[in-house]
Amino acid sequence: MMTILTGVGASTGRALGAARLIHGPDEFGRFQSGDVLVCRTTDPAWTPLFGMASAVVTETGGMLSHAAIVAREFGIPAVLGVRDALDLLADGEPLAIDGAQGTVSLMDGK
Amino acid sequence: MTHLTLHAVRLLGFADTQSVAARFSQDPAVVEFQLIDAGVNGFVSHSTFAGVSGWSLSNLGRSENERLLAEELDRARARDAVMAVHADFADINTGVVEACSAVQLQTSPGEEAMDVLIGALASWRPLEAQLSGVLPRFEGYSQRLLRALKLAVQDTAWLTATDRDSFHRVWFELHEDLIATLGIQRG
Repeated sequence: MMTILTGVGASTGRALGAARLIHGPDEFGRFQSGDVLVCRTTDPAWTPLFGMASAVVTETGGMLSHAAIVAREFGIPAVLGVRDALDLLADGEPLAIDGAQGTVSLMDGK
Repeated sequence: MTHLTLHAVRLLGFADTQSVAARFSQDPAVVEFQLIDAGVNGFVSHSTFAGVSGWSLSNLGRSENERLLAEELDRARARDAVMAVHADFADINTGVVEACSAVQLQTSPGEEAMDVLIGALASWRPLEAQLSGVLPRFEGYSQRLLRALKLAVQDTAWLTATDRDSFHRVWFELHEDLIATLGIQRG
């Protein structure tokens, strides 16, 4: 396992799951329960995805953001403010998220 | 009026027909018809997440929503007023998000967070009155925030929970309403 990205650990906990890169509501249908939600930012429309996600990674936001509050409510790890996450991660990649350390790691030794 | 129906979907994010209609006190039968029509135009879609079905805006619907809101803003000559309120809101928002986080993380006594949120509501009320004078659809947030605070006295879940009209959920919706109305993208 190798840490490839870091951000602000805004909601604690650890989770494993496939990266699901979601650019907007039109792609919500691709999201599967247990996926790691990777997106630029979120608004109220995204809240149902938090209920299905194993973890959340966003390009914007931080410790004091709406996304952090919603992730804590669902009890899932969140790493926020991860610059260029949508460009640097690939859809389907197996990830390990540490919401306390604020790290995004790639599984299977890549 | 499709404008309010689309905007209700934007504000609620993901909601059934009854909730969309209730948001601006519209007739559910009329709203159902408008949602189906909006679906045909590609503005909304109906889907099921985690066993719950509802409507959500497509990217195209979001653009249409913002186009209609911009027209509304120009018609009401309210852009300057909304921008001023949004600037004041942003200052209050920092304290609200800090207080909600403190409640969740238990980093400060619950009474302190409550005091901050009560203060935030007191600051918001005159802004809502100001805003509702030019755009009446902004009425109601203060009432919902007050209800959440009263219920939170018995059960603090009313401050941040996502499964009810909690203080943070209402506040998040208000934030979305302001930035949608001004056509601002979230940072």
